[in-house]
Order: sequence, then structure tokens, then C-alpha cells
Amino acid sequence: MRKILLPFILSLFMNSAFGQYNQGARLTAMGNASAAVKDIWSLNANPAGITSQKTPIAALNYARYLFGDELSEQSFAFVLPFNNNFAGVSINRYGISEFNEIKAGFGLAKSFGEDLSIGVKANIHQIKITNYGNATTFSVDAGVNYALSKQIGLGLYVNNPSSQAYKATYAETYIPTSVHLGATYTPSNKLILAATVSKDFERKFDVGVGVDYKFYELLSLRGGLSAKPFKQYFGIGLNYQKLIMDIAVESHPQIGYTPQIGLSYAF
Amino acid sequence: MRFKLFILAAFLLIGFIAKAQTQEDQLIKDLIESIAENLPEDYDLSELQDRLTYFRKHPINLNNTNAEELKTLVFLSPLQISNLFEHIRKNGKLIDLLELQSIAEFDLQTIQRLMPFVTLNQSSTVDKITAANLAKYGNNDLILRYGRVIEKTRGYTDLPGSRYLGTPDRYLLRYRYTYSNRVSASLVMEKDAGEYLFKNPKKASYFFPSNYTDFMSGHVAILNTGRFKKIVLGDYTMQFGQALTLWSGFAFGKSPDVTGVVKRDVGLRPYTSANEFAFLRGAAATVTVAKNIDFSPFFSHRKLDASLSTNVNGETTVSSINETGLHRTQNEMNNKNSTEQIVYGGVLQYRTSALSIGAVAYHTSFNRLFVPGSSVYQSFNFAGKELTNVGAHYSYTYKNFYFFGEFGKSLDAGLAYVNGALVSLSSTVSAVVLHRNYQKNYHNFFNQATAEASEAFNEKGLYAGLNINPSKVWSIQLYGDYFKYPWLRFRVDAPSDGYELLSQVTYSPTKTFRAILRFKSEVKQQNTNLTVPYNYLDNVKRENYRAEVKWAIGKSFGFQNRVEVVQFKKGDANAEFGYLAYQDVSYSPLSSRLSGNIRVAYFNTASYDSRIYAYEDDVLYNFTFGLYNGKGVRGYANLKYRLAKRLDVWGRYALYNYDNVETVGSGLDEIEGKMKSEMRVQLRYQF
Repeated sequence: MRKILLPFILSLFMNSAFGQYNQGARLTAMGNASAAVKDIWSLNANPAGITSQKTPIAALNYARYLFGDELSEQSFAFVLPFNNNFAGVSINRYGISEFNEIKAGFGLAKSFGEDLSIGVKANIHQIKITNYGNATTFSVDAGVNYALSKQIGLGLYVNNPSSQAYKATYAETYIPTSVHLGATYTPSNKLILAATVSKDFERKFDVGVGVDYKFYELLSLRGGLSAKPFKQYFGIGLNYQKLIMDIAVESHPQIGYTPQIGLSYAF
Repeated sequence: MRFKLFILAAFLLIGFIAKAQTQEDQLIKDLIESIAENLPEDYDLSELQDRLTYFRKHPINLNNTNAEELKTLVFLSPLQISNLFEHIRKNGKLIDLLELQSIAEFDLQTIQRLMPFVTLNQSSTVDKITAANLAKYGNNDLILRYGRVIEKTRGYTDLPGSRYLGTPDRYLLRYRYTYSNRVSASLVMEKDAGEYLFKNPKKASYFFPSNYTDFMSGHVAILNTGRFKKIVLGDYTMQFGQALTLWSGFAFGKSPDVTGVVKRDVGLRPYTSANEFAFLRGAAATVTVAKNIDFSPFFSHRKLDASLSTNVNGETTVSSINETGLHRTQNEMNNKNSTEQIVYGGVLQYRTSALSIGAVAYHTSFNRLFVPGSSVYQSFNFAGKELTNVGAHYSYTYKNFYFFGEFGKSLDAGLAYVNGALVSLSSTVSAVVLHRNYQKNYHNFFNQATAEASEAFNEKGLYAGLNINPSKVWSIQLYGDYFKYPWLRFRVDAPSDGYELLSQVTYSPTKTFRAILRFKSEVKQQNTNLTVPYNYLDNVKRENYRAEVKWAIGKSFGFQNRVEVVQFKKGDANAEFGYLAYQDVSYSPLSSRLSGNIRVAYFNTASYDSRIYAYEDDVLYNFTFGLYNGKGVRGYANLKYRLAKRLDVWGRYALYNYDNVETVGSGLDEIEGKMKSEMRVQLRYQF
């Protein structure tokens, strides 16, 4: 019985709570207000955001959903800068052994001068349910970042504009089609405020707000909010030379706390 | 000819004096108005008005003050206060007020607000307490106010059952005396509409002055006498820490001023307001017992209005305390002063410029037994006759962080704590985080801690707010609060939770133009309206959208327009809406004795659930938050006239004109027809 219900339950949660793919512990702690924030995990948000990396960088992220027995999300990302171009690879796996979804993608971004950058990403999605089978599909993400001034940055990106979906009828999971518009305000080199308005075509408008505050050279404090559903986020980042460790906790009124941890290394 | 010149000169002189006075009043009025916009609708601002008026006359010497005194200027954040002391500690005394600009966190608006209330000069007044000085240098402020609803309400007709026993007139007398920063005294007498002017006429003994009015309050205080910083006899308030253990009177809470959740504890203060509940009565003092250590012992004995019942043993018991202070019907008269309360205890505080620690302990007892109500949600309420509360609070400034918190415990009952931080993230951004956990059986009669519910128990929550001022013309505030009620509540038959979001953007490109956009959304849970065997909870959503502009033409005319829309939705029912639009015009020429303002408002709300509140201008020291409910037009006019140098008169007329109704109001307040109008006259004499 449990096994029969499980895919249904999981896909329900997936649809109601995880329209977006994990954006790493730093962006999550900032309320996923990531449209105009630059990070290696912009690969899973606005692909134009990977253009801030100066050297090759690799990152791992692990999120644990406390309501499931072994439900988790694992992600890997790698970005390689060359000239003013940037190439990135990311892989996400979400689920348990009987049910999981994998999204793997390849992104390309280019910066045009200091202010403007554009990125695109192609993804392959695969859903695997034990005793039912597999389904595969493709999607595209595209985004742009623009620095309005030294303090204010803007970002816009779309996920899956062509509304690709799994062909298989037993897979209720859908690939979200959404538009995200955001801004950042950087009043000092220690502080980033970010806001993003998101519209998933299947759902209501969502607004996220986040703060990243570099308290010491070593330590960053982060917090965020998102409106629909109402979620609070907190996190810290530890920056030690080339190694960065980020921790985030997301609090959802029904699902409870979701902790995650990420590691990245800049070569 | 000579005589004419003299007259002319005299008029000019009066004009100048009047000008100075009007500006001074206007300044405090504007400040209070901007604070009021950010407050819940039941906040009593008269105490704040009183403080500001006092400091306008006796500015605080910034080189010789303390955190407690500066906290009374509510627009200063604790971080600003702490930075000021740090600045003085490092750089020595301030030489010029302009130096404030160099202190971290002091933005232009704060400095502009602060300037009228502070000085750097040692006050030159002789402040020895002698009979001659008291008479010569004392300030007296006398206010007489009369008001009534013009239409006759049902309660005043000859009803067989419950009806209003007194007259519909409202009277207030308020006398206030201050001498420098040494002596303060006050007397307040009030009669609400429907109350007897004289105590029950059948039993009255005309010997006692308290029999001439329904409510009387007063105090005498001697301040700054050696070790004795404050001694108050009569009515007073005690406000310490984060309002969790000991706080009588009102406290700021969640508001668009996101730092409002950090309480400004001002300690012991004399009580001068006409609110009939929010004070202690007896004697209290604050004594410096050692360097940086203050001790505040207090004792209070007063009577409260409580509805009584009888238990199985034939004992009279208290089921609830009535805080309104209204004694209009026979029932309310029976409850009046029916229960005695004795409170005594003390507060110990240690304070340096960065660190403050305090400990509170006090005992509350009643002459009657409290019984919790019979509903399941009331099972953890206070029962018994006696209660002991202890608590500890702290605040600590480290660099750009201000940490604060308080722990409170009611002995043999629950625990509560609140902790938070106010952080200046950059010169333009500050953030507040506050975590709270109040147990369902946390009993305390003097608890005003930050909470979503009206009382701070049975609640857990996390609040985070941001205040962003990217430039002089823009200002953005936003906060989010998630709260959880672990136990049942009134009309909520299961543990529940909810959240509140607010964002506000202010654009003020010039001194005379300001535009504000505000959005607030709140989701909570409540029993379904359907009739079902067991109540389940429905989500209740309330969203407010507000747009406002304030502008001026010339120096005399000011205008304000507001549009507000409320959306209310419960469960699967359709959303309902409420609308309010108003136009304010104010006229306050600099050199005229006459000033005034009017409002015309149109409102249309689907039901009481989508009602809208808005701050209304009123006579000095009276504060009104208008309730806009139903459909109709609301208007009011206020006039102020300076009869003589020290004598002012105010008049106010306000009316509701509802559409398509046969009666206004309900119960004893019901009025035949579609109009409800009210008038008020006030006289102030300063001498």
C-alpha cells in the first residue's frame, strides 16, 4: 500500500512545495530571491548569474526533507570561465530510492562589458519510479542580468518557456514554466539585499526577499522571506580561502524545517 | 497716534509669540501623527504627547542624560542611543548638535526630529525645591474638555432593563504641574458618556472630591534628588525590559517602523493619562544604590472592575477583568471597583553604555478568587488569588549589533522568553530579528510583550524586519512574522498558526510632498462558520492596500489624500472588500490665531470583517482612530483659536452619515436614523 501511494504523495509535495529546483544553500537562505544575485548556483536559477566567477569552481549541495524517511535532494555544479564566456554543468537528484527525479543541464553565459550578461541552459529531466518505469523530457532556461548602477542590479529569467512536460501519463510531476524578475541593492561591499517576483503559470505570484550580510571576512549571515507560501529562511556562510561552506534552514508552515548544506571550491 | 502705534506694536508682538507657539505645537502634532500612522488602533498617545510637550519646554541635555530618558523619545532606536553614548565616551562631550551627523545610524530625519527636544546647555533654571521656586518657575497646564454624541441613543431612553444611568455628556479635567526636572504633579478627573457625574447620587457623600466624578487619577513626584532619581506617590507606570515581566501601560509592537518590536523601557513614570486601567496606584521609587546600579521598589493597591460570579462553595469569584473603565449601566456599576488588587515588588538594574541587565520580582494578589472560564481554550488561564512573577532582561551593544531579550516566569506556572537583535547592516539598511516563545500557562497581569495576539501567552513566533533608506527621498520598510498558537484560542478550537507580511514604500522628494504605498497581508485560522459536529479551522485572510499623498500649497494649506482597500476572505467563501477614500485639508497660517482642519471621507465596507481604521485629528491630548464600517460619508472639522497668550480653545465636530440604514450602532448605542454626530470643546490654560 505504502509503495503504491508513495509516488502520488511525493509528486503532490513536489508540485505544492518545490516548483523550483534547489538553488544551493546561499540562495535558499536568501529566500530564493535569486533573479539578480550572482552565484555558482545561479545555474539552477538565472543562468546569466554564473558570470561573476573568476576561476573554475565546483560545488555540492545536500538538502534533507525532515518529513520523509530518506527524502533528500543532492546537487552538483561546476562552472568554467573562459575569456568573457562561462560554461556550467549541473546535476540534481531529488527523491528516494523508489522514486526520484533527475535534472541535468548544460549552461552557457556571456558577459557584455561590466553591466550586461546573458545566459542560457538546456536541461534533461528524468523521472524514475520503481515498478512503473521511466520518463524523460527536455527543457530550456534563459536569463539576463543588468547592472543599473553600482548599487542596483536587475535580473530576469524564464524556466521552460515552451512548457515541456513528461509524456508518460502516470507521472503527475510537471516541469514548472515560470518567469522571475528581480533586483539587488548593494549599499556596501558587505551587504546584498535581493528581491524577486516569480510567476509560475500554474500558481499565484510569489515574492521573495533576502539579505546576505558579510559580518566578518570569514562569516556571512543570511535571511529571507517568501510570500506564497509564507516561508522564512536563515543561513550562514563560512568563507575560508578558496573553500566556502554554506548552511541554510528553510521553514515552511506545513512541512517544517528543511536544512541544507553546501560546499564549494574555487580552483 | 502714539496709542495706535502702541496697539500695532502689541499686535505684532502677540503675532510673533503666537507664531512661535503654533510652530511648536505643529511640530509635535506632525511627529505624533507620523508615529500614529504606524500604531495599532487602541494605542493611547496622550502620554507620549505629554512627554514630548515637556521635553519641548525642558530639552534633554545630551551631555548629561541616560538611556532611560532618551528612550522616552520613541523615534530614537536603541542602537542610535547606544551609539550616541559610545561616541561621547570616545570623543568627550558633544560641542555642537551638528556633531550628531557624524554618529553612526543618525540619519537626517532622526536629527531633524531630535533637534527640538535636546540641547547641549546646562539648564540655567534654579532647580532647588523651595516654595518660592515652585510658585515662580513651575509650569501649570489646565485642560477642560466637554463632548457628547448629539443624537439620543437607545441607552438613554426609558428602557425596562439595562440602560445608561447617567447623562450622555463627557467631561475631562486635567491639571498638570511641572517644575524643571524636579517636581511633577497631576490631577485627572473624567466622566464618560452614560456615567454618573456624581457618584451614585443616592449614596454620595459630597465630602470626598472623588465623588464628583466617575474616575480620578493623580500623582506627586519628586525627581533627581541625590540618590533618589524618582519618587512617585499616586498613579504611576512601570516599564522594564521587553515588556514581558513588568510593563503597565501601552507598548509599541509590530508596526511599519520595524524597530518598534524592540521595546523602549523607560522604567518608572508618573501617570497622567485618562485611561482607567493601565496604571498602578500607590508609591514607587528609583534609587541609585551603587555606581550604575538602580533599584526600583514599588507598591500598588487599587480596585479593578471585574464581573463576579459565585462558585459551588458560595464564594464570590472573578471570571474576567473589565479594562474599558465604563460604568454606565447597573451591571457595570455593580462591577465597578469590585475587586482589590495589591502588587508589590522591585526591579534591580545594572547599566553601562553598552550593557544593561535587569532583574524583576513582584507579587500580585487579589481579595477574590479567580476562576478560569469553562471553555476548553481557557483551561490554562490564571486561577487562584495570588501570583508571583520573576524575570530577567538584558540588552547589549556589540559593534553594529544590539542584542536584547527577556525571560519571564510565573511561579508555579509557565515560562516565557523573547530574544532578538537589531543590526545596522550598512549606513542605509538595518534589520531586526525577534524570536518569542510564551507558554500557554504564562500568567502575568503586566505583560505587553511583542505578540500577534492581544496578550502575550500561548504563542511562539519569529519576526524579521528590514528598514532600507537608499537615499534621502526613498524609504522602504518590510517585515514578516510567523506565529504559532500551541493551544486553543477564542473561536479557534485547535492549535493554529498564521503569518503577517508588511511592506511600505515612502517617497518624499521635497519637504512638502510625500507619497506612501503600503501593503499588509495577514493569514490566520479560525473555526469555520458552517454548522458542523466538530469545528474545523478555516484560513482567514485579510489584506490591506493603502496609497497616500501629502502635499502643501503655500505655507498655510496642507492636503492629504488616502485610498485604502481591504480584502477579507474566510475559507471557501467569496472574498469581500472594504474601501475608504478621504481628503484632508489643513489650514495653519504662521501668524494667525486661528488654525484648523477638515476631513471628508467616503467608505464602503461589505461587513465588519472588512472594516478600516484611520487616524483622525482631534483636540490636543485626545486621540482618535476612526472606525470606517458600513457605507456612507464621514466628515469632521477641528478648529483651534488662541484666545490669549496662554489660553487656547479647540472645537471639533464630527459626523457619520450612513447610506440606506434605519438605525446606526447596536444595543444601547443604537440611534434612530442614519446620522451619528459628535461635538467636543476644549480649553487649555497654561500658567
